Amino acid sequence: MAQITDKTREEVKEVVLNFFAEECEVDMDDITEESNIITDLDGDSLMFLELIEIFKKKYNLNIELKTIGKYAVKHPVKTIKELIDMQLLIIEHENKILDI
Amino acid sequence: MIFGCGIDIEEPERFNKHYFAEGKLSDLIYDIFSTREIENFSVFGKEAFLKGFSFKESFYKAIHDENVGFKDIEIFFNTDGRVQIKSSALLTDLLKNLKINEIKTEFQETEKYVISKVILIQINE
Repeated sequence: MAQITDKTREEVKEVVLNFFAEECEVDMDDITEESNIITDLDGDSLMFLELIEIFKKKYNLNIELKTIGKYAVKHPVKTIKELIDMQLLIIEHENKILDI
Repeated sequence: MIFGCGIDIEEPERFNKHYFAEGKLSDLIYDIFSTREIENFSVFGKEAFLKGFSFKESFYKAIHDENVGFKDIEIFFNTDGRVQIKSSALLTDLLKNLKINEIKTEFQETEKYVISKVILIQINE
């Protein structure tokens, strides 16, 4: 189980903000942790999957999409903050995320 | 009787950017599609991957079951335009328990979008 530090949180936040700024063609300064991914940024499931892939590679994660899908059904993500928190849980718990 | 329906809209331009980065298949493809699907789609080109993804998204909206994953349902394209759908053992059991005996699928394509619709039909008793 990976340890989540302040540095990890900052890294994850930066990746998420950069990703949405590029994908949604908005200024990074216009994205806040309270931004709603669908209504404010026009995000979708394709972006969500791509972001998961980025983190899987960056942190060498062993987690199946099916596991993330199961978790996401029970804990839907709406805002950037919720997405960052979810990514941190994925990094921390990987395939055991459903046990928490 | 209709058990559920799902609809999905995808943009080829965005999909290709994510899934065919730098001229090769993204790793994501392997998380979403089975080897058999990848072989089948390769015959029909990028469009088949997009339609396959859109179909799976529509299917999950229709079935709405957290235990079903991307690889539990497979879609294969035929040269005559028809599609063939196969379910995993887990999904086959689920469909049987829910008395779903037909999966209707339809695609619509425009210059900018691919739209898929899935309707799950239950046996009338």
